[in-house]
Amino acid sequence: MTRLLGEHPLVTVELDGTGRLVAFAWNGRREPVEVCNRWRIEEAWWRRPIVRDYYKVAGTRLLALLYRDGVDGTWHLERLYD
Amino acid sequence: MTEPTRLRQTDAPTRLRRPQPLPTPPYAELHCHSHFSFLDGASSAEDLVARALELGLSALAVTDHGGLYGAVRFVAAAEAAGLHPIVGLEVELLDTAVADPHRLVVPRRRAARETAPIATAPAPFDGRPVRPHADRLRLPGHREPVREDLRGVGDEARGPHLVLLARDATGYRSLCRLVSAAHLAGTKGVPHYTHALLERHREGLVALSGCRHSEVARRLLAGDREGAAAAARHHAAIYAPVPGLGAGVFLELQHHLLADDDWLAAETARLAAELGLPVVVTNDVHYAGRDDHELADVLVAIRHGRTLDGSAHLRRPNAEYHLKSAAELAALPPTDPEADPVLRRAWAEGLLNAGELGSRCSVDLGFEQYRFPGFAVPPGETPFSHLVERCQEGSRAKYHPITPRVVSQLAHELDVIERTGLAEFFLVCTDLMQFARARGIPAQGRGSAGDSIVAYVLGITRVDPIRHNLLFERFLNEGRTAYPDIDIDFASSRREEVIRYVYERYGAEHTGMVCNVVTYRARSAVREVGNALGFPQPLVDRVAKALETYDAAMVRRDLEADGSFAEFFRAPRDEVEASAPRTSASRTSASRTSAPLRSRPRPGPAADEGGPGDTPASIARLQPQPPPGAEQRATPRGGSTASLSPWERWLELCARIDGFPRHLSIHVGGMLVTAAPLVDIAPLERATMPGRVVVQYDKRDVETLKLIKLDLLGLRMLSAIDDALRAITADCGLCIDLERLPEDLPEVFAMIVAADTVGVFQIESRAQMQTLPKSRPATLDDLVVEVAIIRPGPIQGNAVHPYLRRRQGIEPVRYLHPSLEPILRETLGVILYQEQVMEIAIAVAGFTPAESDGFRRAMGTWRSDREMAKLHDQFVAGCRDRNGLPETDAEELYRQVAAFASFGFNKSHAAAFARTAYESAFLKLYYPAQFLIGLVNNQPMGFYPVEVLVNDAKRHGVAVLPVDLQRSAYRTTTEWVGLPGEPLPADCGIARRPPIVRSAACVVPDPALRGTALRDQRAAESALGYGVRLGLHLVKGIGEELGARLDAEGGRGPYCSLADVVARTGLSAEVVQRLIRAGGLDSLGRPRRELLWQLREVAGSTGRVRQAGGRAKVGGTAGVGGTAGVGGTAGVGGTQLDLRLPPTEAPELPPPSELERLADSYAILSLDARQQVVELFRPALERLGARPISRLSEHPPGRIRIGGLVVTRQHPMTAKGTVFLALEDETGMANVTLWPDTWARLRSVVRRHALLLVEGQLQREGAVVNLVAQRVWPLPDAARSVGGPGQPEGVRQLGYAGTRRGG
Repeated sequence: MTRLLGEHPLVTVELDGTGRLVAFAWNGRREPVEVCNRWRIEEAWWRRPIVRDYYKVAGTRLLALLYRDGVDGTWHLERLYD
Repeated sequence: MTEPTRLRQTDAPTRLRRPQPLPTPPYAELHCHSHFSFLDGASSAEDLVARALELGLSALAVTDHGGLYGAVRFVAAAEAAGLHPIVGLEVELLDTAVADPHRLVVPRRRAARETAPIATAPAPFDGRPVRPHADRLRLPGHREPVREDLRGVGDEARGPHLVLLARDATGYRSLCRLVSAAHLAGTKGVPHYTHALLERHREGLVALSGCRHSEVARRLLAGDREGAAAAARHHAAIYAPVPGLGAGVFLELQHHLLADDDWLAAETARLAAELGLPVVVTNDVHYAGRDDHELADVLVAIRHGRTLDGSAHLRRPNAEYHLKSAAELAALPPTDPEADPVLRRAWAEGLLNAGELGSRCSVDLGFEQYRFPGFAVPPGETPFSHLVERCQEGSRAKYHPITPRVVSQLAHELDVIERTGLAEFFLVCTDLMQFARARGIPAQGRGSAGDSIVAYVLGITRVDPIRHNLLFERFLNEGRTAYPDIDIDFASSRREEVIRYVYERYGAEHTGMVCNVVTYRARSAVREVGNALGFPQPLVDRVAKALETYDAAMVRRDLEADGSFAEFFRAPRDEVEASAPRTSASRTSASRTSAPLRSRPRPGPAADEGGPGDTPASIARLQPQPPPGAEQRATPRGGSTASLSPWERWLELCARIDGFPRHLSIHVGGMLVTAAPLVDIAPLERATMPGRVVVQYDKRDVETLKLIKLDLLGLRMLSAIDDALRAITADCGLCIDLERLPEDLPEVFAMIVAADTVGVFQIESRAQMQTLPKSRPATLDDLVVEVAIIRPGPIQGNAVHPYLRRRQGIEPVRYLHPSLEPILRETLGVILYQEQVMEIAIAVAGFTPAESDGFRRAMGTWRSDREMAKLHDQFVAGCRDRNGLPETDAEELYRQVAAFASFGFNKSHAAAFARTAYESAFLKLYYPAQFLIGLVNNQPMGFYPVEVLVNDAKRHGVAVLPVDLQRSAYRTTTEWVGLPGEPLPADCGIARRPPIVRSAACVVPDPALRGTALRDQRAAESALGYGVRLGLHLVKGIGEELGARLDAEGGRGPYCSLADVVARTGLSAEVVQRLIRAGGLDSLGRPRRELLWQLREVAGSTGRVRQAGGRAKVGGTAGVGGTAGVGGTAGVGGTQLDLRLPPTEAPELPPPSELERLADSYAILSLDARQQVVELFRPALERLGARPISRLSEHPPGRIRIGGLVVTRQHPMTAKGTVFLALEDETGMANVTLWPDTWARLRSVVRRHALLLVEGQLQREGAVVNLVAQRVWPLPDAARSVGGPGQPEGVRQLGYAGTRRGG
């Protein structure tokens, strides 16, 4: 089961010295994570451009799909895997 | 896990910001698509090369899909820029290397959309119907030899890919043979690449495993590791190892930041390690820079016939398919510290291997040694000795006596020909001319070949270079690196015979037609980009139809000038976005859009050069001639279009797609003839024409390759003259030999000076007619100038007015230096011909002939500043030292030469055309009826539509008889109507002979001269007794095939009724209806509306009439009960059953009014034999105070009104926005000028209405009159206000020449 988050809430992330994603925080809870996979999409430039770097991450308590919005540089949580 | 250092929200992702410690070895991109991958590459070769240099690549391969279309351009561009080019291609294979029973490599696809017709379904079995399984009846691997509809089919559902690169000349030959074999085995656009073919043509090639659609990658992705290994081994067995690199097959490692790229690259690396195969890193490039992905997405949508929103699954998911530098590639995830170590190692190795392999591939595309097909000469002769003998024979026939000048010129030319080794070339051309002459095919050489006395005495050209004082060095000199070209014009109707002869003479394997690359232009770009962006179809149609320009880069400027799209230019982004592309996605996004509207990107200072609404591309076009091949690029590089409004984005993308290749067609006349088999030199493919093969290279490519190309062009005027001469022989019993026609007939020149030249070759255009009365040509030499001077170049370069002023004696003839006088005397001191530029360089500046040719070329096509400066110094120093010209004069002369050289015209070409112009003028004057049938039967040609030609002939007293099924043949013919003064035959179709219009612009031979012995030899009196019977070909819907049937049927006797016509001809109801409405069945003696009434019943009862589907295309008024008529209902129910009901009597139907009759005639034939449409408006025009056009020359300058039909509308680029109309009434034709502000104001009226009432200022310059329009009304509206007739529905503007690129 997965939970798709309608609004793609903002999250804060932690990067290590080499720029690697190591943790993110949402709803006041910090989750150390490891990146399982990542990919980039660039879409819909003729409407509202979507440029996203997706990260599939695994934490101790959850699996999540985060992305970094390439247009404004914000990080979002898109999906939680139960 | 490392200790977190900080908590941030806006950091860049890992892979993009990590510092790059890796060194950057030389890297070559080996897998790259240019726009010659037809709608799958979004950058030109030039852009790719430029970007590759910026990125520091050591080499670049262009590997387009399925062919080598862009190879020559790419190699030339790369070599010019100093980049190492590699020639290759990516093939899509029909089969797999290893058996694929589970369809892992090519998934099963739905059958083609066309389902088998019901009739072919298997017969019911056991009383139960069986579902048809057409494909099961065929052998495995069978593919229908038709173009499959692959729209909507993604790459993953098609055959596996493989990339092939040529290592050397042998490899290039293998590529050519492979491409040719695959294309010839397939059909147009569907090459059949198979592994068997790969094995047959493998020498000198190296293979790359390909992208994720390769067999290896697909099998890996499907989990079939064994299969992937087997496929890689199979390919490795085909290709010989590259020395030092271990194998002939390299597995490609790619990473486009896709979800499974890490895995796929790692698996590929492991597989390579296991098999001991080398790897290369490539990026499967489809465009030069990141921002170009937008255009690439549009191209995908166009290719699949979908919108951007509807093609999400067919597009590439991100913008990573651009050219990348070694550093960028070395920063990709495979080099991350935590990446698979095998992949990390392989990636580094692959980068090195790519550079190394790139340096090992090298192809030289010079094929000079293969260029001649080998011409058979008698035993004991060499081609040159044979040529000398032929020249001697020829000169004895052409020159009486042979003067010393002829002998010395001939010796000089033969000397050069021997030293350049071109004897065979001349023999090949002579052979073609002999063939044409033997078959009676009119033919003549054109272009610079006319400068050669050898070409003249061999009969290739008709221009005597001694008589016209031509310069041989313009055609051929020892210093010339490019290949000289001999263009030969043949009567266009018979050119095919000559082409077939060349195929037979030199063998199909040595002969091919050069292709022509069809590129995007304004309308195609607007339509296809607009559809891809999801604009509503009516808007796309409206925009496409509003365009005056042919240039996709000029679309924005054009639409802004139109005015009717102002709302779109004004609309703020959100508004347009919400209203224009009708997709659900765009609606949602419009409401969410918050980004402020940014203005369109504009270049800095250059923006001032263009008008409002210019794009970077349109400015580039407008600026003074951009130097070809120089630093400046015309392609706009405007960055992302994401910030533009949809409307602006549409126009911007149109500008970017300008000039992109769309597909191939056959070049009009280029034939390639080679010594080596053509498949070793150039790739071949099938043309649309059955049995015809074209080379994948175009004219420019062939020149780059230095191959022999024969330009066998079709010239319709030669066909027209030939037809006219045959008619004269048949009608008057006179054989006219135009070769012996004296070139000084004063009456012919009187006609030319009066600008009475409608239909005359080359000097009939509006601009020519405006200058002829001023330049007053009196000899053939003057005519040569006339042909050369009225062209965009001299007009733009202001060469025309000085010549005309000097010609009229308004200003004195001046020479900058006495040494120029002998060179420029014939053009009154104006530099006009390319030969003159060369002669000045030789005689004044002391250049050698070869240097002077180089100088001319350098002046004509801009070279680098350094090269130009060098030539300048040499020229000025030469003038000073050799002739003692002062420095200032030498500089001035250089400036003049440089200014004129860019448009200078080839004198020999002008001389050849002037002769043809003179001959056609002779025929028009003395044999107007026969000349008219020649012109009408060879349409489209010339400047004017048939309507103008016919009315012009009528004004000269030629009786033009209407189309009549009983009397007309398919083609327009002459018909005896009796000499002037005799009564017309009663049933000829017209009531009276058209009177000769008395006006300055209507010249007819002096009757007093006819009958004299002198004239009788050329102008037979009987010619005056012939009228012209319009042919059935003018009726829309009657083509050649149908015409032949009608001719045969007509020969069997007259038709007695409509039923007889329908039964005997089998014409469709629609065509019969058109014939009735055009008056073609009036001779049956029944009123037209009664015939139309009958037609429906007759059509049903005979059962032979093919029912035309859809609605009638030709609108009109005379149909029964309004416009529906018979054709309108015929398509609804299919064939009617014959119920054998008695025919019903037609009710009393009022006959069509004259307005309706004319409207029908114009709608169907685009002309009327009896009346010019404006004649109908004459009483109303008189009430409106308008004058007949023939009276303009008597009218004093000042305000005047005229009414007429728009027969041509010109919007020449050279005129800086001025529009010219040719307006015709029943008495003549007038030139109307609309200045840019008037055009902007009246554009909508002038574009949309065919019949206009124009008020303006009459200007007179000598005998030339011109009306500068100030007010324009639609004529029917104006006429109606004074009780005149209304709108004749079928009358449309007849001709339109839009904005063309300058030069």
